[in-house]
Amino acid sequence: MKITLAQIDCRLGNIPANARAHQQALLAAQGQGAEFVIFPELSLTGYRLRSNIHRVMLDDAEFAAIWAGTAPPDVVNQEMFCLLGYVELTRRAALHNTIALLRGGETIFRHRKVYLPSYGMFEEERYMRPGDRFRVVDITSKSDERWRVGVLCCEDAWHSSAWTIMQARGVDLVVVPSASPGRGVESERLGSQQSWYGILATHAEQAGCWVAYCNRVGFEDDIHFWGGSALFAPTGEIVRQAPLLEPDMLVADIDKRAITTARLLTPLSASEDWALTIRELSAAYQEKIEE
Amino acid sequence: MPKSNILNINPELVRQILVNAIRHTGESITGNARGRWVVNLSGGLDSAIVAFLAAEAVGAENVRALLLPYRTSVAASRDDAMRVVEALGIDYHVNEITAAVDGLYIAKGLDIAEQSARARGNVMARTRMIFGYEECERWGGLMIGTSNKTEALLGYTTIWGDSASALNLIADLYKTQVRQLARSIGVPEVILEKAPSADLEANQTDESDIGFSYYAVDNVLVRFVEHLMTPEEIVTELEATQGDRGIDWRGCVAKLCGECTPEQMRPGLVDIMEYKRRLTPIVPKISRATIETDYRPPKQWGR
Repeated sequence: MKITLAQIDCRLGNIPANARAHQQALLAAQGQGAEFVIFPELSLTGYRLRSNIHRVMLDDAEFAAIWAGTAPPDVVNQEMFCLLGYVELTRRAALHNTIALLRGGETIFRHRKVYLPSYGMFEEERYMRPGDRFRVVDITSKSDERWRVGVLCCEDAWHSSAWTIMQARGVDLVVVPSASPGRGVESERLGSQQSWYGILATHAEQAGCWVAYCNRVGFEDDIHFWGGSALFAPTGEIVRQAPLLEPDMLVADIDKRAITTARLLTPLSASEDWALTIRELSAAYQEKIEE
Repeated sequence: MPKSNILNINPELVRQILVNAIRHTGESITGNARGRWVVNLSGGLDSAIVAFLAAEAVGAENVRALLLPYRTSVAASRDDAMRVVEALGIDYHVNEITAAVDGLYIAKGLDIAEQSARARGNVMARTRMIFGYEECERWGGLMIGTSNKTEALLGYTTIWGDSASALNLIADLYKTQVRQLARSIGVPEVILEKAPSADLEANQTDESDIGFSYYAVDNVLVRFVEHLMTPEEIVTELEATQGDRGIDWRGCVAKLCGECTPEQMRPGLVDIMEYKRRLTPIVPKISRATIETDYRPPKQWGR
């Protein structure tokens, strides 16, 4: 399956401009022959929305309308997959940092970011509510391959527990959209990049799955996003990498055979003792409650 | 314990981030690609490096330098500022601020000679701010600030004077990091080598004003602000690893970070000076603890 990591810049709070950027990227990805296009976290709205978040939130009907105006006809007709981020408004007026997976014109899966960072420079939980699940979705590629896809939105991917759940659900591809601010310049590699690549490579190898990391670029007030979107193979090896600090459309092929090979060579998933894991986690959780 | 290269920067990466920040901020405020920038050139390192980065970001024709000497300013300051102007080929004006500064005291019926050097220095810094903003307005430019992170944390700045700008470009870099960056982008050697000075009073240097070297101050600040170490931990580490440098680490930490015993608590200079930082312009994020973006202490700690 050919995928494209659309490492775009976003204009803060400017949904029309961002929707046009999505449209152009989708057309470009179609030209690349991609059938799955991945955008960064909050790609439709920008990241640091703060007190203006209510000006860009979208309920289901509004989101569908924007997508209908954005998706090029071929993208809809050919049933391309597209994964993008926006602020979701629920019926109870909760706001979520949501990633939607669309096929053609239709939303087939949603992930609401579970771990909303609220420390240091981050204040997501001040404005949004956390999601309450890590689920996967099965999709079928043009070549009739079945792919089990999971989504971890940015900070979610820093929690090993989320990867354990992905692995338990037998995931083939974990997509990690992010809006990661660049920081830490004491070494050759940007500090953010160093930490992210280490985490993603480790988990790709442990779960024996493909990991597609799509990080945005551009500036918002004082902060910049560093890009460096990358594809990790089920061996943990980094196979493709986009440049830092500038927009890019990284296209890559992923195949299911590589998953099987990696899992045969290092049979971690097959040998995992889930009953033990659950038993011990439950016991630890119980002790934590009693503390 | 933090790594030994704690204050090192990758200058190429920092340069890229800052150049992009100038372009993005210029466009976001003016609506024109890149914008125009006015920089007050003092002849010192900080304003020199800001001018270099601005010229790279938006082209020499979109950067204008103001050289704003007072009658007591050191002649070498102007010579050094001219080296920057010539190296970059940017437009510039030399405007004596003497009449404006002295005129303020005349208007108030005060004898300038009776005022403290500190008070006169602050009037000079604020007068330079007005000259800069007047230029911005007429030329359609934005003020680019030249304060570094060390100054901002110590409050070694004139509030609404040199602290005023639309974009405070290097305010997430400690002074020792500014030096590393300057070395890599070709700031004239004579500017790199001279002792930093606000040049607001006779024979003034930053390090004599502060009472400690930038090396000492930055080593304390980076541990206190970015690595969340307690004052006692900082003293212990620096005395153990750099006790032979002849620096009064305990005194430096006490001055900057304050003291806290079971009996009494005294805030440090960094704590007290938060009130000067709260209205900060845009500061491109470089570190893990940027003023305002991450580092947000209360203004009245310990008071």
